[in-house]
Amino acid sequence: MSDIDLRACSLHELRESLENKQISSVELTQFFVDRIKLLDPQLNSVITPTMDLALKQAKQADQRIAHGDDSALLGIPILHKDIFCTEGVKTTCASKMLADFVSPYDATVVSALAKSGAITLGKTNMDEFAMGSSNETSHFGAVKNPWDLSRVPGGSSGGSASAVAAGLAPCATGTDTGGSIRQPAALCGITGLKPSYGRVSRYGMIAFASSMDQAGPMAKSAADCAQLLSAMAGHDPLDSTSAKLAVPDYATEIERPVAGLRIGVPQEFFDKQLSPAVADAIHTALRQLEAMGATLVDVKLPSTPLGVSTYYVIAPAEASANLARYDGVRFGYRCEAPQNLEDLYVRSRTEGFGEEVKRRILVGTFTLSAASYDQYFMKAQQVRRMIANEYDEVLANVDVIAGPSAPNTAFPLNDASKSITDMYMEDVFTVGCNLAGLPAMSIPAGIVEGLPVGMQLIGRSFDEATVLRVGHQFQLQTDWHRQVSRIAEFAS
Amino acid sequence: MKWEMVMGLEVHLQLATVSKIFSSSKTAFGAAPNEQTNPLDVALPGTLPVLNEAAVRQAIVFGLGVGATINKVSRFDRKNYFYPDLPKGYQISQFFAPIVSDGVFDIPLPDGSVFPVRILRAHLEEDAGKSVHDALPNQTAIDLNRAGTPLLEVVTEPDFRTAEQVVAYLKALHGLVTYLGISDGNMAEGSMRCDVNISLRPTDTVKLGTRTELKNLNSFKFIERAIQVEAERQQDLLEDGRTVTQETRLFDPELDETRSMRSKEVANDYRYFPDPDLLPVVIDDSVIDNIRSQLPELPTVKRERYQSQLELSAYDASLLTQDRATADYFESSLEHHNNPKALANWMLGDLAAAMNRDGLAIRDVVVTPAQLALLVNRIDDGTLSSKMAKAVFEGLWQEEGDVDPIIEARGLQQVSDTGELEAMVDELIANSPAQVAQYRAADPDKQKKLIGYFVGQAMKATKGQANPQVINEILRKKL
Amino acid sequence: MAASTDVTPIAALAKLAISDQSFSQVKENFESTLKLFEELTRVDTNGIEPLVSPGDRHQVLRVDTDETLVERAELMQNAPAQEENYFTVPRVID
Repeated sequence: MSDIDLRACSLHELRESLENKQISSVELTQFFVDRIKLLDPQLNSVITPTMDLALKQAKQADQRIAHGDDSALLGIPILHKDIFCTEGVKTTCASKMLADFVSPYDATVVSALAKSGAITLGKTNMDEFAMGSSNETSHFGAVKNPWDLSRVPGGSSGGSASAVAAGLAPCATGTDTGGSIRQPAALCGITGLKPSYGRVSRYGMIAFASSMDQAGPMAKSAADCAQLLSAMAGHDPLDSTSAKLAVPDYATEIERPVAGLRIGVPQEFFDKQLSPAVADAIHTALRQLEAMGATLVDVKLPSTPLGVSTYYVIAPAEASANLARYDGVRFGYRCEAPQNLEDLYVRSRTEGFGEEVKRRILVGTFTLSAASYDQYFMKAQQVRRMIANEYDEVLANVDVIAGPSAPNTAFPLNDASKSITDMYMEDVFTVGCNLAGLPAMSIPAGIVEGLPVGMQLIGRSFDEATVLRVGHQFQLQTDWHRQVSRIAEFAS
Repeated sequence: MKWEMVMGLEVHLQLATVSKIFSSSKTAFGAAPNEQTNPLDVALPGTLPVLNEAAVRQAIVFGLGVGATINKVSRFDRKNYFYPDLPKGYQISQFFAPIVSDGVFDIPLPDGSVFPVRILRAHLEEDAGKSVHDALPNQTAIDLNRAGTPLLEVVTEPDFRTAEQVVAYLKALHGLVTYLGISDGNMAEGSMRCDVNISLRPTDTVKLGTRTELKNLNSFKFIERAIQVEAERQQDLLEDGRTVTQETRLFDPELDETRSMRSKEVANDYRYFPDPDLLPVVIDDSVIDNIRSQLPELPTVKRERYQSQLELSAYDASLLTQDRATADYFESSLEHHNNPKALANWMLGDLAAAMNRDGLAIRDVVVTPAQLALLVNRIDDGTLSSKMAKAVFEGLWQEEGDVDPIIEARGLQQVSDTGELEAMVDELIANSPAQVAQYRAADPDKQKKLIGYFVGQAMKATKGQANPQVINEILRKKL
Repeated sequence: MAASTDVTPIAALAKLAISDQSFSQVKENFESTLKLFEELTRVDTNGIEPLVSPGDRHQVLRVDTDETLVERAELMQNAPAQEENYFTVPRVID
């Protein structure tokens, strides 16, 4: 065991080591449990560690391995974003509202990964109800970026990104409503995939904006993400928006070279909002893809600047209804000694939700109200179609679209100079895919001033295979994804 | 001034599904609190609705039943408001794009005419749970068993002018949905709930007055009374020169008045928007055709057939087709003995009277359609007089056995043996020379009357068991 | 007609209270977010069908069978108040 660097191993390598009995699942799990204990106090990436459960599951996995079971993720530890319901383990959504909530059932993503043999290491920190781009809105405190502890990891899946980047787990789950997998993946230097809307079941994933929420894998490489997606994807009878489509064999698909692929480069992704250093890194990465035989094509997505406002009308509107169930009646926080029903509602919600969540509920309640529905909500849905149509038209001529995942590298925690709407602008390159339902991935593509840069690859609807393939082929030729944070280097 | 009532109806029908509209919980009535719930019904975080195929099918069946348009694409929307028995904080309904629109439902009126009611729309939605205010001290108790029960809300145009029309419509609607098997229509259990929108306007004007919405009308009797009471209230207001406030009002049958539901009148903004958890419902023509081909005969069609084919009166036909159980009983008896008029008379006469007397519904009656058919058959074949048949029916009702054993046990068979009767008639003629002479001297018209004496004597001699027809024949021959 | 941007009735609809101390901050954030949306009102969307959910898929229906996924006691295990198998709230006077 001593000669394997477990932090650097791909999921495939870990499976081989387990299969060859070079290491047991219990040992592997214990390794990451120890790292969480040792390093997470600095990162705050995990809300609820499930060490006992993990070791119990690892023991069972070792028995299954001994009996010749070769399930794809058997014995491999994983962290789940605390937005996924886990039976018998707290699911908080990083909110005071659900601080003590224990789900009586598992999310489909959780049960699917468990069925493939994955070991649950714990539940990761996040922005409250996934509303945020910096992981500072969590009721359980901000998460730190392992590359620089004074900086944010991005959000909302900041805990998952930080933990994987720090080597606290080989992989994690995340969710992405407006960039919540891709942006933290970019800021923490890992690979994160948001699948097409409907590719992965949303059952048991606490809803933020139902028409855009998607679960996806976060790991060290596109190949690892492909392996995880294979286990997560597919129709779920409990989620009628999940697509009844066959899931391709991603492991085979990603091995095909990129030569001959057409890669669209939208000029709107390189406007003044993009930091010049990030722009340089992305241009270099694009030239790499070109050198590998892909053709770069200039494309136009003119409605890109409208994405943020469109998204920030629709997502809070849906959220305002999705979060109405947190009323202090059947589960979740209830205020002390309510005087009457109205008091119970108002105080439970006012005390149970954090500021950003309340801000968005107010905005969403407003845009849906009778007097503003047409002016805001309906309008945003129309612009949403314009944006989706633009992506469709571009993707009719190119195989993938490539550009930056976020306008900047990781920014400082508690940055008072950033207004609410500045923060929303973090999502300018990511929200388009959520509005259009397209698959998109962020892969490490450079380092600027000691901080990672993420390149975003956007594919056609339900064509995660090509996105993963471009990412994997890029990672075969580059080693940005092997660069690790200082904390990750810290040997146990 | 003369006033005209204008009313439109919204009827919530609970559909006859096994499970709820968006979850797999049972829909049965009367379970212990919160026993018929699943994660979705409690609105646990992460749960998602999945639409019940049977609810969609039943909505289509209804739409076809009233000749309405089945919309190829319909959607579900969220209606947002807070209430403890509304677990998600929104109700899933069809606001923008209902599954059924624009139908016409022909209502038979007691005078035999037909009153067409325009159906504006019928849409699917989920029911709320129940708030129980008197189960626990100082608390309202929440039972979510009913939450998510599939409802079809049937909305009419403002076509009603009288309370009688409203009641006739509701009875016909009840008949229709039970025929179609899409709802049990049980008002007492809340399977059929009615809201009436009511306004008054001066006779001969077109413009509608301000309306109020009457809720909590759970019996035909209450509905009729509530409409009268509310119309009188509005008329008093208008004649006093005051105005009607648009509001929801509750009928209180004990105080015999309607009162404002102010608590629900706090100006709410329901913020309807398309539910992103439910994709559009797309219905192919083939599905509609398939459902159409399996539709049972509709009450209106049945009614006409009873009149034209079975030659029943309009009144009898409409009574027999009012609900499916009655029509099924009638048709089943008809299969055993093809005498529609006699069977209809028995069903609407003695059977109905007995049901009324004992407070039974047709489905609880112990006399089977086959037994009733045999009873009528025994009249037709001369075994029983209609008076005897009534006695046999009473025996059937008291579960004394089948028709023939009862006839035997009660000694009710008519004497039709001609030999026995001829001897008796011979004796009668011999003993009544004066009457015989009078009869023989009379003209044929007079004879018809005079023969009654002999028949009466013959019946007396046989203690009423002689078959009067046979007696008649013998007498005519011998005299 | 432009909608009023008064945040108070909106908070009432959403069952949220805004404290006096935070009111000006909440109002400012609320209004600055609405300002961000102004660019949308300038877009010509004439004749464009609103997009509710991405993709061109439609509803998959469930067969009408009953199944208990979680027992009642577990469904109610997180209830802040319950009695006699009911969820409870302060008495509602109708």
